[in-house]
Amino acid sequence: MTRSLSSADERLLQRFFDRQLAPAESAAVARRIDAEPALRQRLQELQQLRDHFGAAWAGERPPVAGAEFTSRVLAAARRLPSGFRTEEDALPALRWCQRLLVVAAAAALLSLLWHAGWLRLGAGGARAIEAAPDAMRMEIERLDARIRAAQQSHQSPQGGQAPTGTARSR
Amino acid sequence: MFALKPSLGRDDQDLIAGALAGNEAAFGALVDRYKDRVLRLLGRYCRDPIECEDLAQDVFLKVFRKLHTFQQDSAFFTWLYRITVNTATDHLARAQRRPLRLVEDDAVLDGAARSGAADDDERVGAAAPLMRQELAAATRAVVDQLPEKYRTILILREFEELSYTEMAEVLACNLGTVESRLFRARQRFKEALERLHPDLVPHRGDGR
Repeated sequence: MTRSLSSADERLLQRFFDRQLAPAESAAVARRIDAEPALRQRLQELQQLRDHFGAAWAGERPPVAGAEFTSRVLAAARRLPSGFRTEEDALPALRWCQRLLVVAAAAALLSLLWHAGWLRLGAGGARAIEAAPDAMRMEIERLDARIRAAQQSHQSPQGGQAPTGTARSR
Repeated sequence: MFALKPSLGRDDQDLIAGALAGNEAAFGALVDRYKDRVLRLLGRYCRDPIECEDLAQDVFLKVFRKLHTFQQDSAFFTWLYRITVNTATDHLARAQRRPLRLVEDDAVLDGAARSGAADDDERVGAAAPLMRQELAAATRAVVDQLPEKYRTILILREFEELSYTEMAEVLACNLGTVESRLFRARQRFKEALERLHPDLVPHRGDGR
């Protein structure tokens, strides 16, 4: 580096070289460069360094994205946990939701049936007997009649006490 | 050396808003718009085009994941460049830690070029491109051995032609740091050239 320049001049010249000065400042520096050989020489050095740096990639063509690049990026983005969701991607999740809903509805129905007493599972539950009211009345009467008949037949040979109740009262 | 410098225009804002809202086409348009610039910048760090494309994909996936953190008061491309530079330098650091590296051996390539040159000595005009190749290989070797922060600031300035303000955004530092780092980077580049290839170094008074 040219040692005759102050650090302020070095910075100023660098800004000039990199076109970071306002037009008026730039014009002032340009006038100084014309008048001061040290500044001119330093500016030439900067330009030569730039040329050398650029030469490192001389003849190399920058890589260009392939035709499928964007679609590959989008496909990879879809696979991320926070990725885009297409309808196809959402389908398995939707199916799981449907299954979950069916299972929940079935569980709710069974629970209702169990609470209503229509469903008794396991050995602890009493067995329910279902019949129409008329049929039940007829069955009770039939049982009463049998009990009475049995009592009568029991009393007849021994002359014991009359029966105290019926099947209905039990 | 002819970098386009897009600013955060209306289009960018719309595309970013769309991508944040889950619009895949908007994000795709953002990728389409910037993929070549990202690849070109990655090409300054990595020579293998396939590796560059893989790195570019990583860059855009990071953009996708972090887009919600982007502060729209700065330019989108400087934010994108920051991610690109970080991805490239991380890649280089990983590559340097690998015990076995598949490296294009400049010495071998140079030797081949020289033996080829000997065969072609009679051919008029063959020397010029070979000299350019040698010069490129020599300066590239110098660039490759610069510390990462100096190499990056030179790439951003000399190839991408970013302003000091833009470089400050990309590198997340202030303008004073940009200026002093750029100055030191040029100094280090010149010193490395002097050490490795004294014949290439600009000397006082030999300017145009």
